[in-house]
Amino acid sequence: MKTLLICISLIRCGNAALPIVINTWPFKDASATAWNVLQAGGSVLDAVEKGCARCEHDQCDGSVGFGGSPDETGETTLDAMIMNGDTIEVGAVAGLRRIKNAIGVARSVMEHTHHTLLVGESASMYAENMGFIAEDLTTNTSMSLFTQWLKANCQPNYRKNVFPDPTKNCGPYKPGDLLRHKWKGRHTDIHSHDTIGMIAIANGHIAAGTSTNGANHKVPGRVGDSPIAGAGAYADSTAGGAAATGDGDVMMRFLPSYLAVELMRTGMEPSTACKTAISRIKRHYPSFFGAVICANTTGHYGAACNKLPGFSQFHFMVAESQSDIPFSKSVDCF
Amino acid sequence: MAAVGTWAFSEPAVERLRCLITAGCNATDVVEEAMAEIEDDSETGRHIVGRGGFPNREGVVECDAAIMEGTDRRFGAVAALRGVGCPVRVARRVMDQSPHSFLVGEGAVAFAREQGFTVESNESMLVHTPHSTKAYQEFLEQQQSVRGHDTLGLIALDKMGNITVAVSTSGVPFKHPGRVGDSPLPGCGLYAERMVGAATATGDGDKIMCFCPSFHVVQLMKHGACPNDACALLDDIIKSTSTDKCFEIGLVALNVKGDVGAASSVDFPFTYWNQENNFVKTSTQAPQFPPKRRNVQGLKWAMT
Repeated sequence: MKTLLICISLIRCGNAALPIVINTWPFKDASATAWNVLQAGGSVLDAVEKGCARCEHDQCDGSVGFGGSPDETGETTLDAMIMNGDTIEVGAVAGLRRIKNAIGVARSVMEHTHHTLLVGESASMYAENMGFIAEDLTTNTSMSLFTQWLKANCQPNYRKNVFPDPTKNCGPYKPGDLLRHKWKGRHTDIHSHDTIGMIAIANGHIAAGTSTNGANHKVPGRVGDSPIAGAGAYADSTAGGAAATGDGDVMMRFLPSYLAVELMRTGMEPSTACKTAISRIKRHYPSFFGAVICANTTGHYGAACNKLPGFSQFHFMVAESQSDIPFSKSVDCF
Repeated sequence: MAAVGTWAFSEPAVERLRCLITAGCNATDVVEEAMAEIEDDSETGRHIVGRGGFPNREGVVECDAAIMEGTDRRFGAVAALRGVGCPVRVARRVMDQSPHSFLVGEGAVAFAREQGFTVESNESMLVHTPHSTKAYQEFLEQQQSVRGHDTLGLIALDKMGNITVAVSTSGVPFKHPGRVGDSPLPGCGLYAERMVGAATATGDGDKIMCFCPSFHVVQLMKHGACPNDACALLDDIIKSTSTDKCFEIGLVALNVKGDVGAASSVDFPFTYWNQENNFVKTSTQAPQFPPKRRNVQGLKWAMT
């Protein structure tokens, strides 16, 4: 009995209970939804899809789903991806208009086409043809965000090297003199969490996925890291899964999710894998906003984040069989 | 100083890179120039690049392009861009003129227009070259597609040791509108890292983009592999595919010493120049299926 109790406590401390669902930010209803899908016999893909879709429906923190992050024209567009770690297949959409269930469309792309990523208006047409309902993604909230932004002379925005001066004016803009400088500015509001990234592991299968409405006041057509395999998320059932959140314009160039999974493949602990992924970016962009979650095939998990004023801890959700209810964990940023 | 291009049709581009690099031009500028010349030439559209490239299934030419500098991983990309004959130039503007990294579809067109590019009609982009017109007719009548995933990838290593890679494609012929493949995605179609090198991939983009091969090749070079051994990563990709025939993929890599390497699942010609040899040469990488054992055992990624 003593031995059994020790074993159980070791498992709890080692964070290695399977099956497991882990997702970015304290989006607990998304975790619960995904966990319930697994408990009901659903696949890891089902769990990730339904879990992220819950955030799309609930408009998690205004940074996932409809009614948030209007672009420069006031429109909300969605990015999402889903990855099957068994087959190394991916489905993704970016700049999706008029369709609320972006990750559902992403899964449809994976399962019903030979393609992997569809973008823009064409992605929306595809979705409608496949039976997804067209709905306005604008709400009073997103319209209000947009009109307030217009009144504030479109500050902040994502323009540089243009005329009129983007630090003081709205567009339309024309190219100005090119000043070659590294973009150091951070427009991401760290109090507005962004992107749900989720990993589910069960019975040797791993799936990962993301969903977001992207950056507030982004240039129309802007796509961040979320729908890009290896950037927003990655899953390989022989190694692990990872997902990222934060300033996608910077993070996508460093492939943090793919890197973390490959590091876990070599035996690196998930926490260290996540930390390495963050370090790589931090070395070049010390002020970037971002976090990564990782989990390996044994159910060990970890997370890491880049420390900034106002962002010293990153919260994420875990659902596993030791606890009926998903619980929040946090990691100190470095 | 060195330069590499995918496929034999890159020879004039690599020759152009040789001239410009030797003249002391910057890696990013030369890659943009050489790439744009090929993109805007409707005759090279048959190679699935730029103007004159194969349209999507609705008859519209949509292009993807990206450019990446090794320094700070600066990056710019466009996808599903319509009406612009030199998409790499727009990608460069995304890199230089925007804190964003990737613009797609209608937004990419709007950005191009703002940046002063003329957005042309689809007729102008199609150019109705014999190859694409005939092929599109056959597609409409018989649902018969065209084999080929050519894509142009170019890597330049300049006098100062800067390394830049760019990729451009009109995408798989008769694709679904809005389909984006691996080409404009960082780590997939292209990747570059200062003091290490760069890599580019070509082939079945819908599959390639699930494996991040360019990123992985550059990481292997970072940890000591020569470009050939780094490209042997293809062995792992082949092993992980469940079918008995791997999808079409060609990888080529260049390190900052000017060494080149390649691997592929099909016959894959690539064109290469370096300062030491001082001639532009096209070699053909033979397919390696079944995978051969290569000297990549024990390569560990550093924990930094």
